[in-house]
Amino acid sequence: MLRDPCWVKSRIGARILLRAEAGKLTARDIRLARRFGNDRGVEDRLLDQALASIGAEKRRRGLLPPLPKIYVPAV
Amino acid sequence: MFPPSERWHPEVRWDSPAGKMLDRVVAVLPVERAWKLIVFGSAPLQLGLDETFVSADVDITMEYPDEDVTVERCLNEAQMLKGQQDFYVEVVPRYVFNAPHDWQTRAYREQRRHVEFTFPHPVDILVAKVCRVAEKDLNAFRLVRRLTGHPTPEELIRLLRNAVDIYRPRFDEEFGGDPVANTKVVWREIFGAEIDVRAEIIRPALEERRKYFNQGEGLKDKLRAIGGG
Repeated sequence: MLRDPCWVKSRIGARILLRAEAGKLTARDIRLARRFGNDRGVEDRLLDQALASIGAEKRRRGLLPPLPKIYVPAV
Repeated sequence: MFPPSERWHPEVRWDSPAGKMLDRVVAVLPVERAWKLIVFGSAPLQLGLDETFVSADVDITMEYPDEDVTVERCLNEAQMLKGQQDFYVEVVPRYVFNAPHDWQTRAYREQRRHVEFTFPHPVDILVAKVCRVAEKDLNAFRLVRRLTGHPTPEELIRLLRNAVDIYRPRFDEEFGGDPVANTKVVWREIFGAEIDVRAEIIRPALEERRKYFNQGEGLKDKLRAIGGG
């Protein structure tokens, strides 16, 4: 399956954001963060979607607790 | 009757002046192909609510924009346009109908031989009139409210939020009324109340858009900061 390069870079960027939150950044992460932080193909919206997608994958694998089934509209 | 939460389903009075005029339109359009016309202005109110609500013309626009020249040529040959008859058809560009973005979901469609007519819901017709609000437009508000009980102030706020672009500043070259002032006139005349258009309509509508368009705001800055700027 061909993946859009903007989406691939944003997925990597999102993983870097998560590793930064967990305090597990590597020298490579910092290098890539500099690169993608200045890449016009990487945008807030795609990073947000990538974080949601990674979160869903983790939930599916049981690495994160499931989201509540009660629907709460986003504020 | 006919709340904006439902698709409009009137019994169209084809024997009203506007109905007869539209049947003449059907008669003059070539039968070799199908046509899709949108009828707006006061005509749908006459056709679906009160046949005595008369107007000088029947405003139509095309589902497919390039067709207006062909339609106008046919109507011209049949002498049905402005200046050719006292009660006439006006072919209007699509952008003139300033309705809420979801108006099609409420519109009523009816096929007459090879022509499909789309009649916007009365509440959408009213919203489109907010750009002008002449006395006749206020009468349209009064008529629709008296016959259907809609729109309520809450419903009209919702509808106007979905048409928020009418409140944008005009280009210097553009003509047109002042929709903010007009909305206040509608509230005063129809609901006997005041309204803060910015607080009740514009800001909430833009806030809803911002929620979608600004998803993840600041994440790229965070990424850049991790990389040292």
